[in-house]
Amino acid sequence: MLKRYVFSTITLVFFTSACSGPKSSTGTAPNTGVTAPGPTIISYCSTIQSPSPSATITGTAQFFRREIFGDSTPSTAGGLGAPGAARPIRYAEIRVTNSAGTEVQCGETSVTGTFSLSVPTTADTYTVSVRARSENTHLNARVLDTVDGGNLYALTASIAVTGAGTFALGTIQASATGDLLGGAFNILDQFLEANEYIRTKAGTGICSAAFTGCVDFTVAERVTAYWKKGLNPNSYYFGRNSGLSFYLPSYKRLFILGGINGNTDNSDTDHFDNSVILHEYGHFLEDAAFNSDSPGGTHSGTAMIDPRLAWSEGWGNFFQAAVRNDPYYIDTIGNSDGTTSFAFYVDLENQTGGLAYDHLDPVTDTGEGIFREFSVTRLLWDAVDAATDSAAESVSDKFVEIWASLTKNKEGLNNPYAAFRNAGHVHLAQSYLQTNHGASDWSSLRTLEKHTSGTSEYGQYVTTGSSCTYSITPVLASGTALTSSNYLKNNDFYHLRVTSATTVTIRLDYVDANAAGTIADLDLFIYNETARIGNSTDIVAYAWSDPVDTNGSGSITAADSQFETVTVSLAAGNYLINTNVYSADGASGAINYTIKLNGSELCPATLPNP
Amino acid sequence: MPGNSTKSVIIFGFTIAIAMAGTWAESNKAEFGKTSRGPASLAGLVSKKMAVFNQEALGGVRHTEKLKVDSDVIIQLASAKPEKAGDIFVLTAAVSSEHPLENIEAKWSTGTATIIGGDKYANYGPLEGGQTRSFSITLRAGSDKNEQIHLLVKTKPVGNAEQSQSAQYNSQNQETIDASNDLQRQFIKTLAKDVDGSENHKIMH
Repeated sequence: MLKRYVFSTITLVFFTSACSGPKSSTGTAPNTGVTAPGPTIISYCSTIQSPSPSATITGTAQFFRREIFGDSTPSTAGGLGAPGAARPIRYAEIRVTNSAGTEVQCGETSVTGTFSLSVPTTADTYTVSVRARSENTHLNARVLDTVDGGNLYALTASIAVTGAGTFALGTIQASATGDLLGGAFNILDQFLEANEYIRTKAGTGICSAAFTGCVDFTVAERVTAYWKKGLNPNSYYFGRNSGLSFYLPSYKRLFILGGINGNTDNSDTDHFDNSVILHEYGHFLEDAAFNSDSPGGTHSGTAMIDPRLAWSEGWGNFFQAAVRNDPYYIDTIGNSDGTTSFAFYVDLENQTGGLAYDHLDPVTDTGEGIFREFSVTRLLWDAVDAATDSAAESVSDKFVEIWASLTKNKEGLNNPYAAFRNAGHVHLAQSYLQTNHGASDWSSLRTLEKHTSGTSEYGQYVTTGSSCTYSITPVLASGTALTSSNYLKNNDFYHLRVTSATTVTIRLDYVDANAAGTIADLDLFIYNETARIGNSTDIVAYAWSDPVDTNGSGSITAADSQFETVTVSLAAGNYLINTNVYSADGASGAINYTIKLNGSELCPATLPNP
Repeated sequence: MPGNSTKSVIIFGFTIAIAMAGTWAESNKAEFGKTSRGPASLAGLVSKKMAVFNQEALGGVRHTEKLKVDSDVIIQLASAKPEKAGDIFVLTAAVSSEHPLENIEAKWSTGTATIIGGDKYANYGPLEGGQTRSFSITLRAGSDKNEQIHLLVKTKPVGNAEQSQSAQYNSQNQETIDASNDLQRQFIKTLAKDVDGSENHKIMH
């Protein structure tokens, strides 16, 4: 019998820097910014060696995570509870070194977390490091501490090898308490869950079979997650105390909240909040797998917001629910070792009820849904959930349609000429699939959530034409801020595509539609492609004169035709023409208006598809 | 009018003011507009003003926020800072909300500090939109080391599911943390571009 033993040295390979607050000093540029390049990350251990003669080290790598307790009843106590059963660390990188630190073997864990590694028979103590990284056909992701640290988390254990034979390392486990290494591996595992879900629904032989030309999903490109126990990415970058997880497009970097100023038991954390982790991974997919024009900005789910943001956040909310197969968005605070509660436990199935999440009332007006993130979420969820859960719709298990709409089609979101992308573009793409590839009819979903089937409410492509009169019936505004203007009822938005630099005159003519004798004030704003409403930086031209007595009758009446006009030099690009009703001190009935470009009316058109 | 929230969307980015007719105000909520309005048949017309946001400079990055609780909670020291074990200090919490709340519950976690005045747990009932509910606790410091005091606040917005948020106060380090955060924000504001010199990048939460 071989003599073997295992050192009790299961450790977190890591660093010991303080974990709170910014790391800058006066006048010194911190290298903690989310866009800082950071150090070179240690390369993936991918060379499988064949020592001869060889010994074998076997073992199992697992992690723990805290489990959510409590149910969806608002009055029920709940939050993040005690660690649950051990879970396998799946498909993770393994590196084996000898006592001199020389790499002697590489490998990966199996789906069950097991590993079997050949090493030289040279009597020595070998260290097995299971790293929070995967670069394989299952997953391409890694979990590091901070941008400037660039440290890769690893679960390590050592074992003495005395010659040929098999040496059992046993089970090594990353904890959900203490060093919280389980947090890093839970983040990695959720990324794997996301990839597995898409492969199951739109993987090899599925998407391409359903929709000609759809590329079957294999594995998403690499994402880097930054997470550190007790560290709030909000404070180390944005200088704020509130807990925050976020994703940084283009850099493929994802930041997960590890606590506040070192505290994890009473503060907001996200390393075990799978809803949040998967929501952020959904943002990564937006960036990596398809297109997004989300401008960013605060959102609380309770108001109409920029529809590009509503789409982006709605997609993230949906994606986490789909992967978890659970129609809730759950974000916890603290844990059962301290004080815990649900920051959010949001029903993604129902528009009304105790856990519904549309403030005061659900979506009510046709076209409103694209401006509400939870409406977007519910619509997408209804497309994948069981058909029987809502009598009003019968679409079920159609993630492949969603995926094809997002990734394949050039008719909507992925039209190279598209701009101001929002849920309306997704509907365009899905409708194209329905018409041309037999996709299901989403009209019941759109009716339920008050979505229109295209971009008529935001980002309608327009080009010169004739006889195009628009109508808008405003509501009284509660304030004067453009940012809080009613997106649906007090605004219209049109996509103008400029193919070469030019100077244009854009004119808005408007008149009372019903001769009621009152007319609200329409204003004209031209935004660049960033187009954050009310943001001066994004406004390239505007005209907001007051209604005037044009016919000299002594007062403004229905007979007075009003206009706004701007002349502006525009570079080639996409612009958003915004007709805004200033109704802070009075609305009116319907107003008819036209928009002219250099004297020619601008009319709705189908966006060209190169 | 559904969804007619007056909550402004805060947009982060650069403070690169563009040259436009008129004068764009520098502050976040500066009002910009005319001083008088012409005649109109609508009753009660007043001077037309529109609030236009300039970008808030944070980080050279545009970003969205993680789903945000509809109310705000802050903790402030309302007495002298505790220097040693046994010192008495007072913390005041303020819960504010733009939207009406059906209920507010609050629970303090004070570490080794002992509550000698005020309630560790209390239900503060409803709150009207735009209002603030303040309450205090008096504590006896358990040591001369930094103590992290947490307040968990559960709110039930009208029409919404219940929400929670946590606020933290550091008995010894709060000033340092605040100063450090301020410094970070100031530094970030000086960044006109990302480190790679490219256009600012978005962050999604």
